[in-house]
Amino acid sequence: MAIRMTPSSKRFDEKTNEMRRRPPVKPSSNPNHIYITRKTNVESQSKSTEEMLNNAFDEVFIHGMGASINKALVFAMEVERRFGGSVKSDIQTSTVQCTDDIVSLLDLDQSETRHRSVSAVHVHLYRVAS
Amino acid sequence: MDNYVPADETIEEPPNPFPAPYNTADAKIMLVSKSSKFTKINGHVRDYFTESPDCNRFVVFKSTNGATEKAVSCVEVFKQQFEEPLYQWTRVVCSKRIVLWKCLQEGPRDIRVTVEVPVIFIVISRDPFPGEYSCMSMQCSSDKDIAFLPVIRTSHGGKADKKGEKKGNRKTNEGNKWMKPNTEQRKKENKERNQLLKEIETSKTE
Repeated sequence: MAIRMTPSSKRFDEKTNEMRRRPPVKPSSNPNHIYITRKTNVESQSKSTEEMLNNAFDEVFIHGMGASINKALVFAMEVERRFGGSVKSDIQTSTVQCTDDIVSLLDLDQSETRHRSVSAVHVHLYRVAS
Repeated sequence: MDNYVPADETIEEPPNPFPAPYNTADAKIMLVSKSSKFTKINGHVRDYFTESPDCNRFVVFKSTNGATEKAVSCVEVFKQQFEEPLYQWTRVVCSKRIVLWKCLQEGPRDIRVTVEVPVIFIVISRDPFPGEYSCMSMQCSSDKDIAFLPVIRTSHGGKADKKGEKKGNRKTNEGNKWMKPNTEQRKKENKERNQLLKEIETSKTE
């Protein structure tokens, strides 16, 4: 028997089912791609990004999704502020498709998938040739 | 801060960072706050575009009170719902919120706290932007990938990708030349070596 969900809102019974969120697709696993989450510490992350831009890379990519979009922008602006005018930014937005697994707690073999669209922001910070 | 109370709060609004005609006084600016509703804002923009399609060619979305995620979501939803391709130009600037804290006791000075809040400006245009303003912050609703990013892989999750990148099988020791050979491989190598030696010896005697 499949998990019963309401057709309009796709809600399910939370007492008998559990939602497991799959991690979203990352554009790249390179170290110059920084993914900002709700748990990211902006202060420490901006310090490490500053070191990264000074020593290892000429460009970094900052990604933020959903509720952490504002934090990603704060972080990007903080890094820009630290470098004065020597670092510039390009910003683009996108929609990321996320997948959730809804697993029945009564019968663990039963599961269904649900797709969510989440807004995302991508910031490209790069050194300006002096 | 027990003896301090906020006395005055001023917000320095940033100017519109876009060039003309996107920063003129008659440009349509949609203010998106945390309590704004997608349906109301997007419905209003849709009506604006359809009521006079020749004159109304662009709209500027601006976030207020730090509602940048709402403004981005609003634009993304509108791009998906609108039938025509739309051109987007995104910029972020800072607004300053200055709070003056007055001390209740005599002696210590008042404190002035400045908080910088990001404000996102997004132009949604039905026409492509002029070539002289071309930059990487511009995008089109028909674009599948982000212009400055590498091509996004289709598989889900990080672990699955790493599995695909593995070279060879650990147990059968295939594909990794630096692994210690097992007994079968050593026997095979010995056989081959002996055969070569025999061939060399026979060629010498002839």
